[in-house]
Amino acid sequence: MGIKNIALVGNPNAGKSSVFNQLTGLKQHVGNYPGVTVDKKTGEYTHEETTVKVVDLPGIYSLYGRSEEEKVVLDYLQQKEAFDLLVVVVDSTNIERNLLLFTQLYDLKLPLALVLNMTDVATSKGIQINHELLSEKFSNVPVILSNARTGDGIEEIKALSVHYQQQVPQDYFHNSFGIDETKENEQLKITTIRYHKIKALLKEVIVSDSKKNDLTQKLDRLLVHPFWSFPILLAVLFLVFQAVFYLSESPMDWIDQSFSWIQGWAQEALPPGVLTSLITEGVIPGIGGVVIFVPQIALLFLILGILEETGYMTRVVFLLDRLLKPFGLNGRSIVPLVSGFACAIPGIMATRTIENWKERMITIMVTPFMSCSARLPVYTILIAVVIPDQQIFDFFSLKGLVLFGLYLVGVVVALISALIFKWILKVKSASYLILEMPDYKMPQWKNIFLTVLEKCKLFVWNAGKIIVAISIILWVLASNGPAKYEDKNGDIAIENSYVGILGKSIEPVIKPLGYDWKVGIAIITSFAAREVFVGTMATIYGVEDDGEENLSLQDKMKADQTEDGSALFNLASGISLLLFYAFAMQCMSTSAVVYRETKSIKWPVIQFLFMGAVAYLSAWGAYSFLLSI
Amino acid sequence: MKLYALPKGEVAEIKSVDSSEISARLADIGFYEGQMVEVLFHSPFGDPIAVRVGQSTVSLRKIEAELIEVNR
Repeated sequence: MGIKNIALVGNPNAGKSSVFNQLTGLKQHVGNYPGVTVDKKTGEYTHEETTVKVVDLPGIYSLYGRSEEEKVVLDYLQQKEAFDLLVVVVDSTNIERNLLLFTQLYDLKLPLALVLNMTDVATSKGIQINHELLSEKFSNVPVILSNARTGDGIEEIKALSVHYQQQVPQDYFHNSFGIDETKENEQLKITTIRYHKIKALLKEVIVSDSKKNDLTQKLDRLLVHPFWSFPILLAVLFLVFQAVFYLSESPMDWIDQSFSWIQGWAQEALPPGVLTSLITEGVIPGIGGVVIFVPQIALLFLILGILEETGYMTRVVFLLDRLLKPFGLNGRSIVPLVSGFACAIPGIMATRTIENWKERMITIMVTPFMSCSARLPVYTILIAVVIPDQQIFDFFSLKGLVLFGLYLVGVVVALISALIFKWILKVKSASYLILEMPDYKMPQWKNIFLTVLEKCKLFVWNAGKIIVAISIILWVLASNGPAKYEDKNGDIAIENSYVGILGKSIEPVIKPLGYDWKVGIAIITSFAAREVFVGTMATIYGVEDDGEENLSLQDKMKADQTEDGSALFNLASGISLLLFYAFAMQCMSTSAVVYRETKSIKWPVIQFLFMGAVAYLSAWGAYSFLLSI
Repeated sequence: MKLYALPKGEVAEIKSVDSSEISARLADIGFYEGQMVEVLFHSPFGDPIAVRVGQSTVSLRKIEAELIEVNR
């Protein structure tokens, strides 16, 4: 009976998250530490009728509070009533380095238990640990051998967390641990002394004929090969995109159809009226517009999770660091940028791993330039309308090349923008890449599954609330308007609604880009999510949004003429609009996430204006140029 | 000599770590006086490099690897 509180603490890559996942399973929650952008993972389990609450503290190497993660851990440790036991998770193949943090915690006289994790790998590497002796050396601290991959040792941790009686260590390992009185130079000295003591102690505790991991060495010989590494990396990235886009196709179609069906059903089943129309035209498409992206996001994080768990991701960071550094980015920026191809929101949240403030800001600013999946339906319909059916060299279709080109200009403009922000942001902050590269290993599916679930939940919640809210607001504005335009039934055509009036009022601004008020309306409604463009166009032209090909909408758009009798959607205005959608910041959910991650309204505003300027100028340039030839 | 200049595959002992804003951080991850290091491989551009230090493999940029003085 009762409640116990424990916290997991340890180095990155010590398998702490695996232990946490084994302890808590689905009973976990990711939140945020107040005031900082560090994930707060909490969970709970029940053992012998005691509820144990677990905090998975961020992985750190030392306790000096030099990074946000270290500060979070320090703050946590200072609230002594917050925990009954600190479980220090240690990588058995690298005890020396892992014990540094342990000895610092020990010298704070905290209630500790030591978990020697990954004992199977240690055994296979010929490392033998006398854990009884190790325990003796630290005033008989409880030592548990575990292997979170198989679940060994998890029951022991559970039992200990319930039955633990605090023992105060009799003496210090090195000295009473002073957190803030020491300067960096002093810290360096103390750390060196600690390591020498640990090394001497481990001579008695560990018998090892440790060799480097053969498999890792062999794989690295290929995967970071001076020549072959990049072709392999490109192939991997290509496979990631193929998998994300092709595997998600049928679930996305299925979701699309389901929501159309639900919408139709609701229209039939509910009594006609304002409320029904709010539900069928505002709420249901709004939710559908969120859920449709879940398959891609799940697949993306499944694959990124596999790359992360196997250890390849750190090699990707290693390989790309030198290439990204001149742009003011960091090797770690690759994960946000790649995520941006599915959705900028999880990408921007993934910038948390970039420690350097400036590099993180630049990554956040440019990630939305990557062509996300919400742009794809817009690209598809516009390309179908304005790009002729031609083959280039009998091999490539012109339409396909244009689509590829749009993805490419997204990347190029992201890099150029990064350079601009690097130049604008004058702040000097030391940039470094001290990155541990763990041995290659088989992924742990439980960890990956829990990460995917978490990312999808975050996306649905963060993007979802905003997309649904904007869909409802837009519905109100699109189905209401000045009374004089109402027909007998009190209905109103979209061009006479408030949204229509808004679209017409921005017409002078978008005229130089080759658009008219109809496009103006679609640009405004796209603020919910870019793909709303297609639905809005369908509404304006009075056709059904009939799925992927939208042939009837294509025909209507092709046939539409401006006042002087020329086609509204010609090559010039089409390319102009494609570029506008490629560059403009039209996603309110992304802006909201940028606000949350930067804790300042300044950054989303700058980003909005910057991307808007890039979009407007490039669309205007392309339109003027194409008209003149 | 500097760690960055250490030929690939040769094991050396760390003699000192130059004072800088990241030296304490380097010590945390295991680069301390007396520890053994080996350069495992360079990235295709020669920067960063991957270093075996104690029982871990750590990537360092050139600028960081030049803070570490080693004895061959």
